[in-house]
Amino acid sequence: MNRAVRTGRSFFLFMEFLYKYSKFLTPLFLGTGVFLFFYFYAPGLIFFREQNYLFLYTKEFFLDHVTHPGGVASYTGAFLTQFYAFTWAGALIQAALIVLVQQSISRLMKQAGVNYPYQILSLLPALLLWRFSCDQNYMTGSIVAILISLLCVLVMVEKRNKKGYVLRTFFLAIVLYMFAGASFILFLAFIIYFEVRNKEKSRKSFKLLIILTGGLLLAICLPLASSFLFPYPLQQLYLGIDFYRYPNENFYFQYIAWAVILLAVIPTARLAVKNKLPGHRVVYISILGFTLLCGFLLLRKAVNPAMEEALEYDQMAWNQQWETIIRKAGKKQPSTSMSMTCLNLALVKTGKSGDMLFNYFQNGTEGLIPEFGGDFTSPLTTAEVFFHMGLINEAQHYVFEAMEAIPNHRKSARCLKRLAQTNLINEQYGVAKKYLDLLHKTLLYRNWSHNASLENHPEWSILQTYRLTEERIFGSTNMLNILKDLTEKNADNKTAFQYLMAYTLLNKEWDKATEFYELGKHHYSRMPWAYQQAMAFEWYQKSGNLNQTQQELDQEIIQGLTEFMKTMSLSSEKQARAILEKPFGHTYWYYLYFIF
Amino acid sequence: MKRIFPVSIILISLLHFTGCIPNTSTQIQSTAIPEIFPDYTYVTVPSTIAPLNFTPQDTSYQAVIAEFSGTRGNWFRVKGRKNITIPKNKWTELLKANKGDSISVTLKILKEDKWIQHTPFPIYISEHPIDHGLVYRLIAPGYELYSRMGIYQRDLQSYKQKTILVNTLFPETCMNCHSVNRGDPDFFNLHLRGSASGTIILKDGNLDVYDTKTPETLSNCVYPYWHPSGRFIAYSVNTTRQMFPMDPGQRIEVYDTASDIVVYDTEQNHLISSKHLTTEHFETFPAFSPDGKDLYFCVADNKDMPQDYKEVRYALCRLSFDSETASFGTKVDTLLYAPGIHKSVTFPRPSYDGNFLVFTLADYGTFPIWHKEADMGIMDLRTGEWQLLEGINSPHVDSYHSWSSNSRWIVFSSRRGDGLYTRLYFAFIDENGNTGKPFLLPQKDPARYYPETLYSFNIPEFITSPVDLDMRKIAKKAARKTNMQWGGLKDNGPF
Repeated sequence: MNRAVRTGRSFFLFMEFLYKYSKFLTPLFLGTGVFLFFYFYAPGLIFFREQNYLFLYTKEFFLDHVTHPGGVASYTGAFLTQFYAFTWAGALIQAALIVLVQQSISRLMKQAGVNYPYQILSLLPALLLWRFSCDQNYMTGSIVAILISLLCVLVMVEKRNKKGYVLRTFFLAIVLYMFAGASFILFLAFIIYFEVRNKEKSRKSFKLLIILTGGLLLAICLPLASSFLFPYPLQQLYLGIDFYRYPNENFYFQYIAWAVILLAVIPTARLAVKNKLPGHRVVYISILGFTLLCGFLLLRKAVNPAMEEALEYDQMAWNQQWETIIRKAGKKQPSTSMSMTCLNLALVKTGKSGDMLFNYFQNGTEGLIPEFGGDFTSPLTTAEVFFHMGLINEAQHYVFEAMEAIPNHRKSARCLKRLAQTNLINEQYGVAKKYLDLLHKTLLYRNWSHNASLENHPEWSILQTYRLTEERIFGSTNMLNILKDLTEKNADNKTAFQYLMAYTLLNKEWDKATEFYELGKHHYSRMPWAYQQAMAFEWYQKSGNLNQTQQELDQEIIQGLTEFMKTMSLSSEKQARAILEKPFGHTYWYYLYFIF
Repeated sequence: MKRIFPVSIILISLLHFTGCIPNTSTQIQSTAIPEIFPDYTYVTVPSTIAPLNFTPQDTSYQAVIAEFSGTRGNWFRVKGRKNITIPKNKWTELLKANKGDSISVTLKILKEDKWIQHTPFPIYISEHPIDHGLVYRLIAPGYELYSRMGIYQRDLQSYKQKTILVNTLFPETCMNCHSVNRGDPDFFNLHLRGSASGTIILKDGNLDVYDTKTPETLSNCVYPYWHPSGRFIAYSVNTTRQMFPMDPGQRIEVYDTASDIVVYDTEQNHLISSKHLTTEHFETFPAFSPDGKDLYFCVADNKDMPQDYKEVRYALCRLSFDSETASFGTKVDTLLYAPGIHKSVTFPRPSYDGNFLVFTLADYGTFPIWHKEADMGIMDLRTGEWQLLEGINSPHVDSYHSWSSNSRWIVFSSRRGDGLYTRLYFAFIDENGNTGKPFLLPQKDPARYYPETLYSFNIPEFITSPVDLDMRKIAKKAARKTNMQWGGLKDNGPF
C-alpha cells in the first residue's frame, strides 16, 4: 500500500515538475526525441537525403533554386541537407527544425490567447512533421518553408496595429510566395484569422474586409499568375515545388501539415479560456497524454524497416564497412535484395563468400547482382558490385542512370564522386575533371576532389587492370560469361572470381563449379565450404556416389552430403525440408533443393 | 558625413585596384600566341556575334589585359582579374567597323608581378551575317533515363537563353526532334515522348499536336525535315534500340532494327511514302533539297541485329519528289556509297543555296553521336565531290549540324571540350566550301559556364527570329491529339 502511495506521489511530483518547467522541457524532450530517433533508428534515411541532393556553392545553383516559388526554402533545405553526410548532424538539424516549428506554433498560440496548458498542443503539428520526415522523399525544405511562414506570421501579428499593415502584409505574402512557395497560404490563413479575432474586439470591419478579400485573392491568384512565369504544373505552384522528391506525388503532405497547424491554433484559441482553469494540471496531463498517444500512433510505424535496412546496408557498402555489414547480418538476416547485395559484396570483399555464402538466406542472383531497376537507389548498390570487380563502364552506366533518375532532377555528390573515379580509371580525364571541379564547389567533398587521382589511389589503378577492354556488349543475360572473362583476364581479380562462383552456385549451375574453381583456386590454401559442397554434389550427380571424388573434399562434406541425400531419398520433399532445415539449412544442398 | 562614407569607399577601392595591377610599362614580350579558353584565336565570326569573353588557360596569373584593335580603326582595352569580359557596345562597334576584315587581340598577363605581352592574334569578321539565334535541347548525356531537359532558344547577339519547353512542366517527358523550316520559327516541329506524348507542329502560327503513329508505320515520326514550301515534313520511322559496349572508350551504341521514311502532308493530314523508302533495308535521316524537288536520305543494308551492328553502314542517296502531286520519283541516286570506304554516312543537311551538303561520317552505325571517330564531311552538290571538313573536325565526336539561312554558317555539336558534354561551335563556309576556324558558342563567363554545366547541347538549329510557343497551350493541345492518317505509297515518277 505504501509503495502504491509512494509511486502515486512520485508521479504527481513528476507531473508537477513537468507542468512547472513545461516551457523548457517540451522543446528539450521533443528535440532529444527527434534527435535520438533519427540517430539510432533511421540513420539510413538521413544518409539517403544527403546522397540525393548535391549542394553547390555556385551562383548558378543559387539562382536555379531561388528563381521559382519557394526557392529560398528549398535552397535553405538543400544547404542544411549537405550536413546530413554526418548522421549526428542530420539528426540534430531535423530536431532543431521540428523544435523551431513547435516553438513558433506555441508562440502563435500565445498570441491567439491560448492558455498555457493548452499550448502543449503545439506538439501535434511538430509530431506530424516528425512523421513526415520519416518519409525519405519528404524534403527538408518543406519544413523550412513552413517555418518561414510561421515566423512571418509572428512578425506581422506583432505589427498588426501599425500603419501600413495591410499593404505590408500583402507585399510580404508575395515575397513569401517566392521564399516559401505555397506555404504563403498558411501565412495568409493566420493573418485572416488574427484579423477576424481582432475584429471581435475592435470591430474594424473595413480592414477585415480588405484583408479577407485581398488574402483570398492572393491565395488563389498568385500561384495562377505565377504559372505564366514559371514552367511548373499548377498543382505544384499551389502546393510547393521541390518539397517532395517526386514532383507529382504526395502533395497532401503539405495540406495536412498546414491544416493541423491551423487546427492546433484556431479551435484551441476558441476553447481555451482566458484565465487559468482551476483544474489546469488535470487539463495539462490530459492534453499531454493525448498528444503523446497521437505521437505514438504517428511514429509507431513511421519508418519502413525494410527500406531503412536497405539504406543502412547501402551506406555501409558505400563506406566500405565490410565487417560491420557482416556483423549486422549476423544479428538479423537481411530482408531486401539491396541489403543482400551489400552483404554478398561484403562477403566477397573480405574473402568470406566461399565459406559463408549460404550462412545467409539467398534469393538467387538477384541478391548478388540485381537487374537494373531504373530507379535512383538500387542501381547504386549494383554499381558498387560492378565497380569493385572491375566492370567500370557498367558501374559508370548504373551510377549515371541513378543520378538521372532522381525524380526532382537534383544531382548527387555520391554519384559525382563515383563518376569522377570511373572516368579517371577509364582515362577520360576531361570528364573526370569536370566532376572533380564540381565537387570542389561543395563543402564536404572539396578535399576528396583535390586528392582524387590515380597516383593517390593505387586501388583505382588495380581496377584499371581488371577492365575488359575487348569489344563486347554488356547484358545481364551474359553475366556468367562476363564474370568468367573478368576472372580469366586477371588472375589476381579475386573479387570477380568469387562473384563467378557465387553466381554459378546461386544460379544452380553446380555442374560448372569444378571448372570455374580451377580459375581461382590459387587464392585459397583450403577449398571454401560452399565450393566443396557444390563440387561434392557435382561428383555425386555424375558418379552416383561419393566414394572417390576428384577434388580433395573434407570428410565432413562427404558425410554431410551422404546424409543429406539419404534423407532426400527416404522422405517426401516436405518432410525432407523440415528434417534438413536445422542441420543443413546453411548448405548449398539445402539452397539447391528448397530455396528459390 | 553620410556623403563622405561612400566616396571614401570608392576612392579606397580605386586605390586598391590600381595598387594591385602594376604599370604595364614593365613587361616581357612573348612570341607565343596565348592559350585561351574558349580558343578564339584565328576564328572567323559574324559581325553581330555576342562578345567573345575568354580567360587565359594558365590560371596562375594576377591580372589580365586584352587590347582589341580593328584593322579599319577602333580600339579598346579590357582589364580583368580572372576573365576578359568585353563591353557589348564597344565590341559591337568594333565588329561593325571591321566587317569583312579582322580585329587584333593583344593579351597581357600579369604573372609574378611582371606583365607578359603575348603575340597578338586575329579574329576575322565575316561580311556574311548569321541568323538571329539558335534552338537546341539541353540534356544530360545519359543512357536511357533522363532528368531535367528542355528546348531552349538563344539570341546570338547576346547571352540570353529563353525556355521554349521544359519537362518541369511536362513531368517525365522527353522532348526532341525539333526542326524549323530554313530558320523560320513559324514552321516548327517538336516531338514529345512520355506522359505528354505527341508531335507538335506549328505552321504559320497554327499549333497542333499529333499522334504520328499509324498502324501502317513502324513508330512515331522522328528526324523531321521541312519541305521548303512548308506543306510537307519528311520523317523517318524507326525501331530503335540501344546497347552498352564494355569497351572503356564507348558508352552507348544506338541501332535500328527497322526503319523507313515517310512524308507528312500537312494539308491532307496524311503520311505518304515510296516503295524506295519503305524497303527491307534501313532508310533514315531524310532531308529535302532547297528547291524541294529531291529528298536526300541514308540507307543501309538490313543486317542481323544486334549481332552485326558493326556491319551496318549507311550510304547517301537521293530520290526525286514532286510537291505538286505529292509523289516520289522511281529512281534512287546514290551520291556517296560510304560502305565502300568502310564508313557510314548520317545526318545529311543540304545548304539552302543548293551548293553543298554536310554530313557526318563514322565507322559504322546510325548514331554517330556516341562514336568518337565521327567527323563531318562536305559534298559539293554541283560536282558530287566530297571531303572531310578537316578545318572543323576534332579527335572527338563532331556531329549534328545545321545551316544558317544564308548558307554561309554552320552550327555543329562536338564533344571536343571534355570528351562527353557536347558544346556548340560555329564555322564559316565560303561559296567554294572553304571553312574558317570554328568558334565556341559565346557565354558571359565561359570559364565558369562550360565546366559547371551538366547538360549537353543537342540538335542545334538556326532560327531567323524568336520562336513563339505557348507551353501551356501545348499542354492543353497534347491532351487532345490529332491522329495522322496513312496516305499510302505515292510512286508516280520519274520526274
